[in-house]
Amino acid sequence: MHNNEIITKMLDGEVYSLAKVISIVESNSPDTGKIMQGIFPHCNGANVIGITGPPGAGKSSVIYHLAKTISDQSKKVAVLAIDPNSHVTGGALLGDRIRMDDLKDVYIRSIGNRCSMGGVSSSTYFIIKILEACKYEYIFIETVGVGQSEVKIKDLADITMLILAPGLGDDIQANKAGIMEIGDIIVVNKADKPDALRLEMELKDMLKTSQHQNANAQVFQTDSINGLGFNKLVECFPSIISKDNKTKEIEKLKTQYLELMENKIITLVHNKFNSTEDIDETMEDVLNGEQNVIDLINKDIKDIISTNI
Amino acid sequence: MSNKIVDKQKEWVDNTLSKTLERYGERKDNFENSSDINLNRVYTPLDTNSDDYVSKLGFPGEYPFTRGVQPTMYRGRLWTMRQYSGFATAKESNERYKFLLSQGQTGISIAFDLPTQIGYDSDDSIAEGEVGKVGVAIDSLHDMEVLFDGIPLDKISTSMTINAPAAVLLAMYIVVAEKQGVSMDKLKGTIQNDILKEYAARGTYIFPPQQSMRLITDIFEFASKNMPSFNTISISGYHIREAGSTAAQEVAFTLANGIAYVEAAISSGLDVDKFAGRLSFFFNAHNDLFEEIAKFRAARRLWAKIMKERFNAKSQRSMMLRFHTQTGGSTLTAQQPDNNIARVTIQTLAAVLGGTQSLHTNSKDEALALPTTESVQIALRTQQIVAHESGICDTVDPLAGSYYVESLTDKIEEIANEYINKIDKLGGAVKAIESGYIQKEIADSAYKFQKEVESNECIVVGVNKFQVEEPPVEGLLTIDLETERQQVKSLKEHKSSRDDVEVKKALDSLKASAESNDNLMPVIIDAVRKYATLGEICNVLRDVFGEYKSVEIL
Amino acid sequence: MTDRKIRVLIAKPGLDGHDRGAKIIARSLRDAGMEVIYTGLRRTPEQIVNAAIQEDVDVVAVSILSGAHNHLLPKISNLLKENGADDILVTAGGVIPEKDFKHLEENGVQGIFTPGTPTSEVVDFIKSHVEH
Repeated sequence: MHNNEIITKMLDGEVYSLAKVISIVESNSPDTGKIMQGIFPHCNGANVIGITGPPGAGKSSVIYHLAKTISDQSKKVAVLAIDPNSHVTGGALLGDRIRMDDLKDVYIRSIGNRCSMGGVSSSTYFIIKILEACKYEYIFIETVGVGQSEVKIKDLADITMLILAPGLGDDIQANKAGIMEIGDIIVVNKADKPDALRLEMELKDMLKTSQHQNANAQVFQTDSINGLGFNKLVECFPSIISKDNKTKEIEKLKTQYLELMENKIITLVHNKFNSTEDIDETMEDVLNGEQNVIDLINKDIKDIISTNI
Repeated sequence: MSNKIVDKQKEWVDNTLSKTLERYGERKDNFENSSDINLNRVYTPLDTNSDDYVSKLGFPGEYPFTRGVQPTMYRGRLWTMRQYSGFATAKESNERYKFLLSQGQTGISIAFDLPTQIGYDSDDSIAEGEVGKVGVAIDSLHDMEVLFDGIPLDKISTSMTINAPAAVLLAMYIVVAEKQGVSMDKLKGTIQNDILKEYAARGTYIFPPQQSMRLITDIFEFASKNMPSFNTISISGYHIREAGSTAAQEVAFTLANGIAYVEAAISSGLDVDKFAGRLSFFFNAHNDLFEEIAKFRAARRLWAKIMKERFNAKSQRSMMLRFHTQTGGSTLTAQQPDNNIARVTIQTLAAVLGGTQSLHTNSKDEALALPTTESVQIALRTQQIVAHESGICDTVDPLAGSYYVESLTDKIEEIANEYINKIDKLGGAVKAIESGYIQKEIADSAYKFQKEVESNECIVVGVNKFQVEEPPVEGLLTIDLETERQQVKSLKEHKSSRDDVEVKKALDSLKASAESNDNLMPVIIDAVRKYATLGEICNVLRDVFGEYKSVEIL
Repeated sequence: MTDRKIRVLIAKPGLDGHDRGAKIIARSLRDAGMEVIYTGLRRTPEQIVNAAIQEDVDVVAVSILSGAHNHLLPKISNLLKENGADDILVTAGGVIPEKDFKHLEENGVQGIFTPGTPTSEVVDFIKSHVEH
């Protein structure tokens, strides 16, 4: 089926077409640019909420309840659940949807991060825009654990949420780096557990002395087993999301633009390197003083630039 | 003495062994069993410490029970031959039970269909296509009455493989017996009632862990007062093993679950010696003969220590690990099914040499369908041949003292103990399951085994070696949709012929009791007596308790 | 230069709780470079088809050991068709007697993998039947 047809159907609300367009864009198809050109004008602003946190904190359950709460208010909700692809085989086990499958009207898509460094795949931005064009008002992004991912998620999301839970061992220590950079909201899940209150207090103390921009982060308690605390959490969203959409969109796109360029160039560089014949011999020449390593690099870069992409 | 052995062994290695090794090598570089225990070429007295006989082995019927839970074991009485069975409607299952009893089976074991196991009536939409397929469909007391028609409950012991709705089926059993004129205190049998393994390995859960534990401890309490001869739980390792665990993990995770149940019962106010004597266990029997025998012995010794040291049990009875065994279904093949008879025989030997109290042997068609009458007969005969013709029942724990078996017993106990310590650190079995730890260990072992089979490191005869071209197997048992139609029809008839006002009253009382701290058994018995259906009762409990959402670890 | 991966939904319909095989197949397909989405237990045919469509999978691999295959598999297949998704390959694994194969194949199931099948066979079948 021609791309234009699928896009028209997708914009009309057909879910299977939406799913197919996402697959095309996710696979770095050469048609991606053209497709996105047709999609951008339909984007009207969605609330993108990035969710991160250590394994076992209950990210999927928290998203389940948030998505349900909002969906019950008759708003269109989508969830992108990102898991890592294996660096060795390229395959992935995508199991986050299991905890959310009961939500009939929510669009849930499991995505592999395709081994990208930031924990989100490079096409995540485009997928968010596609969902926006299809009138999804709230888009949750569940990322891979903590560490590098929340850095990238900040660029994509309007609200970033860190999910923690008591009793996960050294979570405070291990997450110090993450906490200090992440976020607008910190959720202490498993509020039914005895240490939940203590964790909340500890977090609030850490934030008070934080030098970073998230010193204003709010801390909430939720209990995803019994579904408690989510109404309150949802109610605070509007106060956090900035109202100036246009500026925000341009800023987001600038970040993505830069990143896409970086990714593209890195790919070109890797391809050039991997396709170089007699590379070992050339390296030997450098080590023997027979070749100038900087000249060689400059020549390679010139070759790349003069290649038609 | 041991220096003489060391010296002689060195001589043997240098003079005799090395020559053979150089010329012929061995079949593998490494010989390991399922529990990843490296197996020596030869075991000697150096591998076990026989000075510890009294404290490590002792005598059968006494702490630490390594050699068996009864002093005379099979010299006194053979194990109960108890074939797990049930299919289609109560009437057809009743006929199968009568057949098995006539052929020498000594106890009944009921298999329920999936809707029944998960608390749904046969007319529920989710039950479509599943009614009567893996066991008998029981919707209400009516079906239970038909199931036991002509079977005297004061003379026969019954095991029911039922977990989440165990309280309801137990209540039905009590009322059927009552109608036969048999009082509760005379009833002998077991309900599986082990919800933790459902979360970890088997999947037929309904309610969340806390509420399920409440139901379980209610049953413990009720039975400790009213049913002194009834086993209120069968803490199971069978399914954990079937899901792919190793033998040592089977022991570890089962006993860890057992610890959680004992803790729950004690927290609810029960004295350990008042209920622990009625805890029973359920293990698997796989093909590695000696590993399995060692496993059973290790389990007994470890549990005895746990009951004595961790829980301060005073009564010998509380420290006894009594168990039922089923031969390993997952070891049987769809290819060349007759071979399975040989496999089941090895597994029967393992269970008997391991000291089981009761045994189910699988039929040869296990990988294909539920058993036909012919194939279940052979399975029963296998037990009878081992019992009467093999001679292994004529002395207790015949393999004790084998350097190999004692070494393996020690090793399995050690590995299992390590796992239990790990689970303790995680906060106990419930937390370990909620975090997915146990599920992941099982899945990892299952995957490892699959890779070993596919690389031919593990041979499965007929599957990856010695294959033949075979036509499809004929004459398998099938359950068709007519069963479902019949069951739904009679359910409708039963519902229209009962006193709905009484049913509603009973269900309302059930709801009130579920919301408070009352013991639920009396209200469930009452509801069952009024012919409330299993689905109706479970739906009330679903409303109050909620439903469990599983943690999936790939 | 597209980076299109084969996406497989592993589904457990009905009340069957045996997931050892499903989990092993999931890992094997992952090891073969595919993206595998697992539905978890106790899914209705509607939930399975809904997931298959949202995830734009190439294959729905149904695992069923409870004997309810003759009822549940055609249901899944028909629902996919009704939703315009009959280009999705449907395969089945578990305890399925050979005499039922014809009925299932006539109802849209294209590969049936019973006990003893090496996982490589499943991988090869999917790779050879999915065009990208």
